Amino acid sequence: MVLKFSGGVRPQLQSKILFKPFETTGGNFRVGVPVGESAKISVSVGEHVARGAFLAFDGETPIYSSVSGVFEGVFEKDGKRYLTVKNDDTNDELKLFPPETRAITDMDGSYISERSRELSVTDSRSGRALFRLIDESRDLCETLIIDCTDPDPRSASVYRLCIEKAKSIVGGAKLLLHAVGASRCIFVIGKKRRDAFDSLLEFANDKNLFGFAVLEEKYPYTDEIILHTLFRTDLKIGQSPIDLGILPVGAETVSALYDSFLNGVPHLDRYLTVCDLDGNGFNLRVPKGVSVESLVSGANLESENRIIVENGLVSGAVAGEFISDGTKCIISAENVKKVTAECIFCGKCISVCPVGLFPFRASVGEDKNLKKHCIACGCCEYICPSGIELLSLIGKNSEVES
Amino acid sequence: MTRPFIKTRDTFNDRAKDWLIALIPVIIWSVYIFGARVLTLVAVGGISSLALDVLVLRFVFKRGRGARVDLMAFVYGVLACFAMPVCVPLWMPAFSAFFVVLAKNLKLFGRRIFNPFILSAFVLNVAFEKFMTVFTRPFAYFSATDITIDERLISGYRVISPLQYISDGSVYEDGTVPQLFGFASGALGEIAVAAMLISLIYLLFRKEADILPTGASLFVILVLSLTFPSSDAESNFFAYSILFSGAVFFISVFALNERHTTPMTRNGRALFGILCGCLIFASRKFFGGYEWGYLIVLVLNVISPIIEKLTLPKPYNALKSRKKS
Repeated sequence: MVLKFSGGVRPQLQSKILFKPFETTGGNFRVGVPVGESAKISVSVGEHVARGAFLAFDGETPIYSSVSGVFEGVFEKDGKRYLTVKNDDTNDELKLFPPETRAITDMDGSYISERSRELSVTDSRSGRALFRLIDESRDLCETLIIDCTDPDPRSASVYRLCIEKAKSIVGGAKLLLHAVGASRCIFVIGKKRRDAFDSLLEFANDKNLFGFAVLEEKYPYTDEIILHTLFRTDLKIGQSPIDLGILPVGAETVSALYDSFLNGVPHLDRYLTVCDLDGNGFNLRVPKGVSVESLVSGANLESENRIIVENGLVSGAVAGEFISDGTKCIISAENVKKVTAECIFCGKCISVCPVGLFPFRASVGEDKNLKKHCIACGCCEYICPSGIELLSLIGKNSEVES
Repeated sequence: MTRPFIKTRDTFNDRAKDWLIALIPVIIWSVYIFGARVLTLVAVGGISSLALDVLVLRFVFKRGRGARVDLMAFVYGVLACFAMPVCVPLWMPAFSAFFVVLAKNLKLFGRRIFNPFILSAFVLNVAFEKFMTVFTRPFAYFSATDITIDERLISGYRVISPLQYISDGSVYEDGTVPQLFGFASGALGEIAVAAMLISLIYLLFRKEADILPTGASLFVILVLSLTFPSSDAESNFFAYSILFSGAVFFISVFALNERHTTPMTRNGRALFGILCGCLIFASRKFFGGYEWGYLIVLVLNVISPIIEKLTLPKPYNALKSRKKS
């Protein structure tokens, strides 16, 4: 049964790369990993590092080189600091950890958390370190949600991951279930990509442990939408899903957790889609922190007056210099501004708002509380036939930019 | 540049196109009933409203050359003509354009105060009662190009409309079929209930109309007229006369779905429809004049922001959690 929900925009096109398997990238590109001011760097500039080599400690999290190449030091842009390595395409790989051979039941939650910290596994949904999510939700979480949805109708990376790495996803889900002490795991996917479930079902055949939810095809699939649709539960302002006993993570996260444990290799690769506005492009397996420019030029998507957006055209953000841990797709879009007219009270913004707001009221200056409740998904501004910049009027644009 | 990085290709005029398509069945049926003069009236009303609106936007509101033409002005102009009998002078639709454009651009706190075509219909009914209450027999085709129709010619075809029967303390007892298909007399856009139902279905399909206010208004009128019938008529004939006569369907289908001047909340729209239905029934039962229906809509237009505010639902993230997991 397809679960329906209010809010979200229906896609006007479908991805053209659903059936394209993941490809790998090569060349002399740079990778950059964001670090804080207090990061302790263990390698010197100009030193050769292998893939998987330890670079630095950023707080509690170790940072590894996702490519083999020359360490170029700290690169600063827009107030952010990155440790950069120039790829030499030799693919020298360093194995710092032994593969995990124990059964899941022989490990406890704190061990899985500690191990995921050592292996630097990050959540592809939030971009946060997985060990933090495990620690925050351990013994509080009843239900684990594996988000198998793509952030944009053009993107197909999560779908391809479900098809190609179903065993890793299910294995990782079991590990995470055990780590946080949850009793049930639900895989969530959009209606038009439900065949990905067939792959997952082959491994997730324990009906008491695993459940599947097919949501109608609307974007974006925010936490609010998933929770409201599955549990009829609404996140109050300032509340996180963990407060309700629910931990949502990305499919890539659990896949990376399983692969890292099994092979003893840190989380070094990302799976993402690089495409244009019409949905033409590639599904790629790339090193963590690869430069966005190299991805776009490698996919021949460069053109004048373009804007590079990550994670969906409705709810995404302008891509930075390097892909982040939360990047699931890169879209090269034309930078066109819509002519603005007055509000025609068509009510479309109301129908697409995932939290049931009346965004048009901002355009006539009537509601001062919109900012408090708005989740800045961008659906209202996307659908507005008058081209009104509703997010700016609500006062959410500055938050989006930051 | 910030999110969203893509916007729908729909423009504000797509909505006007939907409304224009929705009006086609009514216009075609009206031409069949009253002849080609309907087309002339509708064209004069629509074009003069559109032209005047362009001039007002350009010279009063100082919109630049790049400002787009708002086709809704044309739609409102046509709808204003729907409230006129076929034998009105051709200058009258042009005159109505002043009120259409005035109401279209008259805003308080960013909101339109009055429904443009209802304001126009009300003013014309009050100011030109002599023209607006003269109805002629269906299939009596008048010249499409004569500015005015000879009064002697009109008097030869003049008949009493179902609403005028009610005003006189009687009811229209020829059954529902003439009223459904416009064979009873009336204004050119208001007579054929069946044609308006087709328009309503199209508007509902395109999500330009909502069944809540329309359904609530019609249902309330039907229930009240069956409950409180006129003393000298069978209750069902009285109910049909009230429901299918005058501007009841016109108001319920078109005026209650004009989004600027009705509440945007679902409960608010339903309440608006219920209030409209109750007041229209009361006006029909106790007064009977055409202008009362329009006046009721205008009064409700003024209080619609208050209705909306009272019925504004809480956002989902401000509700209590219903279930933990």
